[in-house]
Amino acid sequence: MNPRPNLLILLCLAAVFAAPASAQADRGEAERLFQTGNVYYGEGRFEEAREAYEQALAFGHSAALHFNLGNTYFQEGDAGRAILHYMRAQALRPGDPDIAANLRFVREAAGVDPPPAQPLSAFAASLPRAVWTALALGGIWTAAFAFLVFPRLARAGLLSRLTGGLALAAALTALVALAADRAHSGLGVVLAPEANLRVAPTSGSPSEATARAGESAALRESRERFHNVRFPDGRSGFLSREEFEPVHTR
Amino acid sequence: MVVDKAKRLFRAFAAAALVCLCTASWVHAEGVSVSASVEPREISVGQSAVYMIRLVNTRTAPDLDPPQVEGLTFDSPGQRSMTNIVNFERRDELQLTFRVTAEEEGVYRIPGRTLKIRGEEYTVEEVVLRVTPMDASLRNLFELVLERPERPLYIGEAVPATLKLRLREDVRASLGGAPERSGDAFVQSEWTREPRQGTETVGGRRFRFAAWDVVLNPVRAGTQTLRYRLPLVYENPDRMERDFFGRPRPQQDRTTLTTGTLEIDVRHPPAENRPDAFRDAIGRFEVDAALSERTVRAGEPVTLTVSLTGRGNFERMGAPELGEAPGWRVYPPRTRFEADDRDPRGLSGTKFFEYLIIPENEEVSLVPEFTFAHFDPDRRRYYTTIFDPEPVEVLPGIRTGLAARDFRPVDGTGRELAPPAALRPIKSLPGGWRAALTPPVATVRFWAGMTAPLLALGVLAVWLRRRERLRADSRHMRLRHLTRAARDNLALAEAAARSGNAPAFYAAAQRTLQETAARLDTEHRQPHSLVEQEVRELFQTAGGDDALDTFTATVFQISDAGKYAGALLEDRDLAEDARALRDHIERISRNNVRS
Repeated sequence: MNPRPNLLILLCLAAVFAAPASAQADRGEAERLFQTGNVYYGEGRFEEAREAYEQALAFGHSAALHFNLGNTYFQEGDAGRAILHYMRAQALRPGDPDIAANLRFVREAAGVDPPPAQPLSAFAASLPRAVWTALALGGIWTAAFAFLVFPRLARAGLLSRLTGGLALAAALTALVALAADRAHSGLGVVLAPEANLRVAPTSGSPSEATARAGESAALRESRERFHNVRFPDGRSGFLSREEFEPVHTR
Repeated sequence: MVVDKAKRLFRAFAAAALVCLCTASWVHAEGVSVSASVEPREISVGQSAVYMIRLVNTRTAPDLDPPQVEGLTFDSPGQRSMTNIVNFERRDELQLTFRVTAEEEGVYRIPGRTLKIRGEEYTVEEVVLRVTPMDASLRNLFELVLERPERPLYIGEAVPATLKLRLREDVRASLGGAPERSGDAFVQSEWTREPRQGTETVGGRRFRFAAWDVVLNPVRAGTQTLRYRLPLVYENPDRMERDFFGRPRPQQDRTTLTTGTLEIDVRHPPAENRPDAFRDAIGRFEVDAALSERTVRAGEPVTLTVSLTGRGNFERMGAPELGEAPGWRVYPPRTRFEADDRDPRGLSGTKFFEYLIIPENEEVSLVPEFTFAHFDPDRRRYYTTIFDPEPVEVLPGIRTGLAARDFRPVDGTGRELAPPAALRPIKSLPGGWRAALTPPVATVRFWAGMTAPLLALGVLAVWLRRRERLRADSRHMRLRHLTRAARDNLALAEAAARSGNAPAFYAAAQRTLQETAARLDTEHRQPHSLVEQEVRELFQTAGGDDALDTFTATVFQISDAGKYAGALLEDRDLAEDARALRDHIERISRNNVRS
């Protein structure tokens, strides 16, 4: 037997299994740090809890992790970052009542209003994004098979056309929801207790208005050190990266 | 004279010595060497050795972290530098030292490493340290143990544990430092400032002990390791020495005690039979409930207090869940904890959940039921307590005429009371993990990746459609065949024209015209059977102009002359005819497709 094919197979298998094994190890470490943070939180050691949660963020994101981080920041008196992490948790798990309750609670405590509801945002939030994604992809592929491939392989009946039509409708609905969700995800949160809205992206620029921690604004553009933002009431300007953070980051 | 000579000699000697010193320094700057050693090379458990890295001919200390070897502890880093001059040879030496303490017996290899000094890399060799078991006589003097429940531990559980130092009654000792823990699968409460002290009998022998009561929180499932170490300075009553005045006294020594590596089975609370009402309460609890008022008016708040008494993870448990409460407005509970003073760890006591509930109308007669579920780690079983709805008398509201849903709790001045200040508790399970916050669906790469297989699917569909049409439609197949044949013959004709081969050109041109005409033939005759007149008629029927008609006639005549007479009738420009052939074929084909 020629050993080279075996070696090749082994290399392929190693390549296939190495990445999941590494991901599994990362998840284990993330869960350990998550539980560590929970213990510290339970003991009222919020700074240590926050450090553990933030270390866990290096390995991945979960709605529960951002939710707990939001609680921790609120306990430390940082309403801006608390709201930011609740919004991130909500982006990952839109329908969670605990996230919505705490987000509402912290906004009330900080005296900031929630951003106005976007068109179709309630519809987009009715299902998790993963479900919408699965629906869109499943619909596209089902419709593609039903309309393009299946009639070439077998006799296409009413059932095939009906299935394709329904799948296409589901895919379009899901794509609309995803687009609405995407439009909503262009938001960010003010982190500084009182931030000056600069008219230009420089530190020495004059400011025309201020924003307070926890306020949500639409991110219009990101530059090297500044974000150009616009608030629902029409205020706009540049905030530094320390003063403002988008909900969605790469 | 003699004095001058001596002075000159002395000056010459001093200058030479200076030159030698400088030269020696310069020469040795090139010869940096690095070595490692451990002294002594063999120690027993609890004893310490010195691990040293020597750097010769340099004074530059590299960045050096302590080595990481499982079972050995490296601490007390030190640094010493010296310069020796022997026979005018200067020798700089830098010694970097770590005290290494052995916690378990075995043969340990302290790994080599690469050091970077002034941009050059130097290799430190591996060294071996042998660790023998602790002397039996010492083991009789003291021990360090961790007392904990001898069963699996559960994530989320608050585990009471005690680190205990036992000393034989006649041994005098003092702590060399605070206890240290290793094992990242557990989080531990902070050490108490002073250990609890007392005496106890173990195996028929009396011991004094110092105990640290702690709470362990397992945070990772699986077989996990945990180890404690405690430095100790002691007087050994079994080994006597004499003091300065010759009086006998116990020998004083230093050691580091360890619990050894403890392997602990850590599990998630079992998923099997887990009640829906389980909110991470692990321990043993008794549940009680009380209502602040039995008779209330609609719109007035009443407090339902649920108390949990027992021992467990009070800090992490969620609030008991109230059932469906039609006719009641329910606010999140306010919580408080009363610790049992007798439990130094704070694991025992009573936790109160105070629910503010408001009847919305006088039709309600029962307060909401609630369910509490907890997991008993000793019995490895879930327990669920369901409190049935209790009767309550609700009188009509004072603000009669107001819709029930408009009632809000108000204070004495009529200002509306905010709901109880309560942040919903943290989540106990992390749920699903994502690599990035931005969903894949929002990335260009994702959609690019999706488009490629969709395009492939479209190509597959087109290919299947063509194959199916070729199978089912003989006319389509004939047209396709003729189109290909005409295209091939056109190419042959153009090649012949380029090479100046007139007979070949006109023969190929004739076939091209025949095949093109055959595509227009509704009688489906074979292309080679079409004669000149038939081809011209077919072209005319398909809208061919006079130029095509003339060209067709010319090509057929020249070709036939070549075929049958063996010579061409006239001398023509082949390139021009090739261009005309292509134009005519394309035009008639285009017109035909349009029609």
